[in-house]
Amino acid sequence: MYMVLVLFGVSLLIFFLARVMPGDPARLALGPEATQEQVASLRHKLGLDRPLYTQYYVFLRGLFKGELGMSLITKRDVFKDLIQRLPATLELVMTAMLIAILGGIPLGVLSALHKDRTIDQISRIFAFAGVSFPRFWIGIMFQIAFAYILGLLPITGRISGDPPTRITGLYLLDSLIARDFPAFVDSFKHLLLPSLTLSLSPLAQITRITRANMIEQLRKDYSIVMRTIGMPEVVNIYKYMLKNAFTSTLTVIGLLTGWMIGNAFVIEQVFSWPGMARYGVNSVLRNDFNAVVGVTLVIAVGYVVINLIVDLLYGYLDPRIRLKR
Amino acid sequence: MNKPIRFILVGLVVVLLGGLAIGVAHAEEVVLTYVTQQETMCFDPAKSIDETELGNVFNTYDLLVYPLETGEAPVPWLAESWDVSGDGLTYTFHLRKGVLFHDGTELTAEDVAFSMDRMLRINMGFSWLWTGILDPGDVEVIDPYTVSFHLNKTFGPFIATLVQFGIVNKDLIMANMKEGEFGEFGDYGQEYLETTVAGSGPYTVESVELGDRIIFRKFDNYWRGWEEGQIDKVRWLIIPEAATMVVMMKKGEADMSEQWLSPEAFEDMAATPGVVVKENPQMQLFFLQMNNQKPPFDDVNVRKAISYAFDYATAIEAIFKGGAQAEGSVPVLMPGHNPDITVYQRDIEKAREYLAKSKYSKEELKAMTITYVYVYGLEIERKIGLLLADNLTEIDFNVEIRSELWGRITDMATKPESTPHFTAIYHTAKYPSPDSHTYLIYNPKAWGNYISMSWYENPEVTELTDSARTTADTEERYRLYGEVQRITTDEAAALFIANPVLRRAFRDHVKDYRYPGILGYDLVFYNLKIEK
Repeated sequence: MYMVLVLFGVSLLIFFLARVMPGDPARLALGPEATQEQVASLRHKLGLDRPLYTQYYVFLRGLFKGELGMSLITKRDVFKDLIQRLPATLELVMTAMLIAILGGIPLGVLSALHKDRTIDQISRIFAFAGVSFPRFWIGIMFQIAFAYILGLLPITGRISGDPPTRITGLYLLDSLIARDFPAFVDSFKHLLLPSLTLSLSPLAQITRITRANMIEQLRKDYSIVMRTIGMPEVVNIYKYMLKNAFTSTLTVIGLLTGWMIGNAFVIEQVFSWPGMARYGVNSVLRNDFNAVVGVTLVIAVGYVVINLIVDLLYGYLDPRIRLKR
Repeated sequence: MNKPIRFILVGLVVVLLGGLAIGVAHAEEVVLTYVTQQETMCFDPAKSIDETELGNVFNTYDLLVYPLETGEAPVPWLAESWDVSGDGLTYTFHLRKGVLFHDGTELTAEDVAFSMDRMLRINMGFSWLWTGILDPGDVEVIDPYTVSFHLNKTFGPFIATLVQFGIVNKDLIMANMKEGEFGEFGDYGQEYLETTVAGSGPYTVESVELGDRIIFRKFDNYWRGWEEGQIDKVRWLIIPEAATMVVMMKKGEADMSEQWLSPEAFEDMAATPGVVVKENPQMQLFFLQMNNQKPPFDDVNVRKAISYAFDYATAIEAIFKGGAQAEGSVPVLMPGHNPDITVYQRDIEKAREYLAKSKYSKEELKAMTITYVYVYGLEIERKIGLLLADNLTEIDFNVEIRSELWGRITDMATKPESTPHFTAIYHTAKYPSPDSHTYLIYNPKAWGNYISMSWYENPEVTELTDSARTTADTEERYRLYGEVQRITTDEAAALFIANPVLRRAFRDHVKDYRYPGILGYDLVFYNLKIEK
């Protein structure tokens, strides 16, 4: 119920905000030389000459039919554009988050276990750099090093040749389904640099929070008892301490995933990644009001769904939460 | 050798030779990679307006007439010839026979009539060119190869405007139409044409990945035929980051670049072995609109003073890094350009003389803040603003420079009160007629958009531009447009700065590039060849 209310609130807010952006969308769609009559005709067609509440009602009605209105840039329904664009962003975000989790958690644990020693200092510098360096700069540096100088990885795009037959729109998955292994390897190579660049900041944050929580767990009585009775260190750390330390890391992962869906723009721009975030920013710059609303709604849905997953995972990690329910 | 082994060996040889043949055929495929930042992907000739969209249309559709590099009147193309009635109201086109659409059906007069009706009814794209001139149903099919356009009124630039009229395959559209607002024509095939084409042009669309790439494949049965070295396949890649595009050109991962890169980026590429930067004059005007209805620009003497104070040479040499100084509003390359008009040069003494004649006192002018607005992100326009501000301090003007999003500028352009003193504007010809650089700038009927932000009003010029539109005789029409150019430069209706060049970078194996001066036409890949 709360989810529905949140989405309704977001749709209401963004719908009205998108309609007060400067510039006449009809004029922008038709080009500067279009006559006033033409502009008026398109405004009528788009319903822009109707009261805002009527426009919102029409928008909501369309939403239930899977229609988000015509994009003034691509001149097709925004829903179709999003279906085309979203998988690229999801593939990028999911891979980046996987790298961040697989890198950040072990690094955080290692850092906590070797607190204030060399490995911890290196990890802290890395975490600091990961958060501080601008992502576009890191992306361009990666391009220069790995693509331009070493020639190991492609500079831009999702794939060199023809994309695999579209099933999910996720090239890695689609190429596997089609058993097109060269396409899989090629897609993976294209994905590596952008996802690595996007993952650095989340990786640093996950490292920091895991380290802090693990240090806290290390000081707890149960952890000292476990060590005293001779419980193997690996079991103690990964089965008991990390599970307890993971709850707040999970919150951060959830928030970061939602954040990445909307903020992958810079990476998509630098690596010519045809994703939804780039589409969203271009829509704002070109006053494509239907597209702005569509992208914002998708990001909102993304946040809501991720929060739901995180809530469910809390229950798994902490039985007290499960039992309360 | 026993029979099965012989059979297997023969089979192996056949497979090997077959594979070799396929390999050779594949190796011979001529592929060109074009890179651009522009993302728009529209293949519908009834909706296309920007360079990318027009490039798509000119590669996949054909037109009745075609523009020339020399800037002269368009030449016959699908229309082998045409007749004009004595009153200038009926244009009858005689179509080329044997032109095939991509699906193998023949292009006929039915398709031409259908395409114009479709264009006018959808009422987007370039349909404004024929608003009030043609109505749906005004195109009559005489026979399969003859079609007549019955105009509502005489329209001198009519033939020139047809360079924006792509012809669609009626049967294919009708077979693929969805429910829509156009009655028996449904949605007029708009949904169908979102990601595919229904034309007869040199290329078909093989695949589209939105925001990423378009793959064009040559149409074997194109009516002009094919020669060795012409492009078989075009990879049109969208590269949003200019720096990445430059790297791709330098590395040889791209063969041809877009035109919107900075002069510095082109200099960088030109210094790389294997990359050639080509410069072509274009029918483009860069000018600063001066709001003639806003003080102090409502005084012709102030406008003239500014025209004499500006440093044109520095703008062209140091900022545009090439091109020619504008001679009035009509680009030098355009047919009908009048060379016998006032061309202002920097002369501070003359500027001061005109200021002294102004109705505004020196103190009044000094107290005013003159706003200069340019499009957010356009570095050249920002530099022009700085140069202008610097030049005008010599005649005691105080200039405030401000950038705005394009959407905001189009809003400002709707009323004289909201239009700033100066607005930096590029105006590129969409059809080869001075009409686009006179009527659209100075005639009050065209007011309200970015081209007319000077709000210049002169009954004589209004009369001349109206008359020119309704004059069928080309020479007379050009004379009228020439007169408009003379008056408007005499009165310094705007600050006419440059006719910039169009630059593109190519790998040096790409040959035969040519540009007919009209936006999008140099993206016709049929004209290019690759020399190995």
